[in-house]
Amino acid sequence: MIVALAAAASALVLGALAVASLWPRQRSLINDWVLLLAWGMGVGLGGTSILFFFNSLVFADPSIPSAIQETICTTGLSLFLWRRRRSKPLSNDYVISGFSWAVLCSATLAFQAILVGALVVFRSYALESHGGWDGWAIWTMHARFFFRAREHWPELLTYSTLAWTHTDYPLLVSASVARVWSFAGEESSSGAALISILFGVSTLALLMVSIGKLKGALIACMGGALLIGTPTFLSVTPIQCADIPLGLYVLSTIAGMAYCDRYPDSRGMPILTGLCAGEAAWTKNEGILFALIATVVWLAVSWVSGSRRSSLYWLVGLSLAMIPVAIFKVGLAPANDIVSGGTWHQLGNLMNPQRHVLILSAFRRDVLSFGSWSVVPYMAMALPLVVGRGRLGSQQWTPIAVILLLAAGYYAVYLLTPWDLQWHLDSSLVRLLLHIWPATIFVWCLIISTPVEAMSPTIRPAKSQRTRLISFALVNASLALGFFWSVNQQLARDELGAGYVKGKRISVLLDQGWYGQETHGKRVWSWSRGNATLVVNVPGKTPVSVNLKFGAVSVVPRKLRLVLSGRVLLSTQVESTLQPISVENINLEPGLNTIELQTDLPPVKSPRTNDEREFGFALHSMKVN
Amino acid sequence: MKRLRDTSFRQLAWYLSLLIVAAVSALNISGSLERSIPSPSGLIKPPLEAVAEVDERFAELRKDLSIIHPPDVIGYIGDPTVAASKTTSEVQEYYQAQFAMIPVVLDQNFEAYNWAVANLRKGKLDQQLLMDWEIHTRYENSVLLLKRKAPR
Repeated sequence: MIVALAAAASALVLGALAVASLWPRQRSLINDWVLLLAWGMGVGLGGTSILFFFNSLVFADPSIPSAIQETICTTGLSLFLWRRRRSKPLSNDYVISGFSWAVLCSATLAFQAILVGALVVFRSYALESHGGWDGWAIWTMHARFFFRAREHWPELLTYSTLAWTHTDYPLLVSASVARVWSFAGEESSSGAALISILFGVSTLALLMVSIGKLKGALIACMGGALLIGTPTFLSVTPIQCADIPLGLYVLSTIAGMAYCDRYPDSRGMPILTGLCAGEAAWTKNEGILFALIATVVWLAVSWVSGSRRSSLYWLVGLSLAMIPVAIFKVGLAPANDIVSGGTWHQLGNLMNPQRHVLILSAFRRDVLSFGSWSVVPYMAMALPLVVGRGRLGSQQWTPIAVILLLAAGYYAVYLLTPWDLQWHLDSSLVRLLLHIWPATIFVWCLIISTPVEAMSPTIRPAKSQRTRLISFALVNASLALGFFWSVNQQLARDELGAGYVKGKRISVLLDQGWYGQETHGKRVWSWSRGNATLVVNVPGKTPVSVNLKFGAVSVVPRKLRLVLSGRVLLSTQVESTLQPISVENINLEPGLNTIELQTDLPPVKSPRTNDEREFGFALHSMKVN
Repeated sequence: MKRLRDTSFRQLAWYLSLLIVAAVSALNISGSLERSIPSPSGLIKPPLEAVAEVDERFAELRKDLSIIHPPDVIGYIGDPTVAASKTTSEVQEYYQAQFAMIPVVLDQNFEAYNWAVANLRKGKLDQQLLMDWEIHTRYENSVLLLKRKAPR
């Protein structure tokens, strides 16, 4: 894992140096270092994956040449920056000079959101450490192509029996994972998850820091809270798919456009922005469509505004990342299943009203639900726009045009798809919307017209600032403590109940003979298949005495006995209505204690439902004290 | 004075609108936390993920077949009981086995090859198959390497 972290850190340093080299000269590198790191992660992973890809075509073990090339690039960029730093003193155009209460409140929300987000991502990872279905079946599979078949990996792309793993998909994510494995000398699910999570973290960091520089900390924290407040973003982040990485490159491109607009004389920014668009194409096939749209819009805007030089710089950056895409697509990959499946024969579908209705209804459904929100945020997001009466300038129109055209492009692909349309929509639309969501939040942040004081807080006396920061620290520490306490109360998978006895967390888990944990709100229960067992986990080295309180119910009246190590703890009659049961003073040894639950009747089907399963009894909401 | 009042009112409305955005975000974040399930802690080991379990089952066979380099194709024989259940799990088992066995490519059309892998999670090998195939190596967890008796 240490080598994997070092490999990721090396990509981060290289990326940050590359971004710094292209950064507008009017801005201070020192003041912008967080933004450079946030931007650099994506650029670095993209760049190192390209180096690894080329080396893997030539060398059996691409890790050594990749490491050498990365070191040369890092050294070269460092020298370049060192010389540039000495040649011209730099200054920043915007500095946060104070903290208003509004900023501190929003920062508190963002800080607590980051804590929750980190926990949710960790839990998702613990649940599926090898990634989701697409994660292992496509992206990690292709990483295994690189790592296991070594220089022969392109041959694997030619086998039609492997077509189900979409061998035509671009390789940024897979090559990044294989690079980490190659450096470490072994495969690990944690290496793949690390790359996956880094893309999610970079997305959040880039959104917040870039908005912070453009619109101030208050709006940046709001944007961050909106992104973390998208449960799908958190659950998809660790599952080792390419959707979050593509979302990062879409965001990087859109953010780059905003910075290009702010620094029209910069030669580096259009190169960086074009490079990010190209890296989107190197991430997923949908990224190729994005790169095409972004390039067309950029060229059109540059043409209209008369800055043709920036078009050239954009194309330079774009082509750097498009070279591997072209080599892979033209020379190595099989044809894409949608394109080769007769898309052009489907042109008649453009005028098929049924397909339009189907696509529009799926868009309506998924636009409202793709985030798995408890409360859909669009109405709330509209309020500051209405109140602020902001006007859209070219800085906002260009990214809006790109996002709308990308959505229109996805719409057209659905119209022309040779696959079953409903299946195609159901299996992909949510992920496509996730690609554009971080960039959409970025644009939302840009559009809000902020009162001046929110943008640049009034400079207060130092003492007042200190008081505010101390209050901020205290409030956040208290909230974090409360958060960890409440998280500790949550029941784990297959836990029926838990509680603290003498400072130890005693948990009761479903063992044999259960249909699994069911929940509704805070209620937790499980039905048995007949006789069943529970396991009580006692941490530490000393025995404890506990009381168990729970509800029990059965489809038909039956006897229930609880037995621990041959000793009967309880014998009772369970009825068809929920009844409270209490078992006191159970002496438990440290470690795992198995409680047998024995019943006198076989399981039966429920006459009240169509459920085909046969039920014994159910235990509800167990309390341990 | 009126203008000043208007400005203050607009500013207040603006802050209120952001407060609503913050509240909605907070609700969504808390919903996200409620829905996320912690893993059991302490001595309880979470069940192995399906992919990891298949990786483990095929580890020995893959080690033996690592001499196949560059990649080559061998046959794949799925579990007849899984196939008979007419669920998608037969396809899933094949995909997972392929994931575990890369760079060896597995082809479900096993008749075309001299070597085949049998992935028998629940059932037994079809006796008719043994007319043409012999068990070359029997691995743990019902994974077999088969060799055609009369090579093609």
